[in-house]
Amino acid sequence: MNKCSNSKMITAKDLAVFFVALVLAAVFCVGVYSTAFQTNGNTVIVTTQNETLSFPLNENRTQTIEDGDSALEIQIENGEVRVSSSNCRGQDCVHSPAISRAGQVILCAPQRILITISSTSAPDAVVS
Amino acid sequence: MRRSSSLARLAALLCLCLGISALENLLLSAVPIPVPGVKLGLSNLVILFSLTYEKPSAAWILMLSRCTISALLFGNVSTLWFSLLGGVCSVLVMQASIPLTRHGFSYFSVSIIGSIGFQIGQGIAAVLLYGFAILYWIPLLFLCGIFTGALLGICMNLMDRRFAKLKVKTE
Repeated sequence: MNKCSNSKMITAKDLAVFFVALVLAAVFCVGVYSTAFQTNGNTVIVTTQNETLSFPLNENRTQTIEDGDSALEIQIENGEVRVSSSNCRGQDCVHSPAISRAGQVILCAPQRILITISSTSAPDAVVS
Repeated sequence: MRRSSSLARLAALLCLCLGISALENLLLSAVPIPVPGVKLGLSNLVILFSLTYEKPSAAWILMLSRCTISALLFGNVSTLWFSLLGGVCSVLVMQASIPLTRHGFSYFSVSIIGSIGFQIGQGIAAVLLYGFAILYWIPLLFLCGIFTGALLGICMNLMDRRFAKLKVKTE
């Protein structure tokens, strides 16, 4: 029997755990997001289960990515890319904010499609 | 008799888990969150409950069954890995931290620790499936996880107080 007999309230020790975790997470966030992801990218890299596609970030375009049953549409506009539509169930990728800096990521987990921004000098393979 | 009663309770808790998961999926589709992977994790409340009121093995069975059935009903293979690795890490750290409730901590802390464990497990699954690029989201998920863990911890404390008043007989 694991039941703790006393009814529980939030204690001072609990609040200490909460604030320590919160401070650590905030430092982690500030540390990572203020130092990394500051370089503007120039290439959108879309990785599906079977292929990797690259598109220049400075050309406005709407591109449909199809891979088996997976289908997703990305919109590149004003140096930013976002997912405009997807046939996945959760729609997390569609609700993700637009990305523009090297290292930033949009993930469509159900369709296993990863969209990243790279700052390489030229795309490896431009799909038109 | 005792065995069948445990089995029935486990089945009821599993149904509750799945029902809560379905409700959460509905809520997420109605109120989109711009950070992928952020969930309230309400079904974790049922698992924390079973860790407290049932045997630890019941919590493990519940978590594994919930992840599998939930992925079959609402997700797919990749979401199964996220929830499975997250769930394993979460139950592991919650089971280890339950004794803290006898040393001045409440389920609030246990739930926060469990939520951090879930984020770590989910992060491992993300790296295994998509490589290190996906670590971009981890700090934000970690931060959100503390708030969702705290919220579930408050719910668990309230539930525990109610159950203490009812003097519920457990395993």
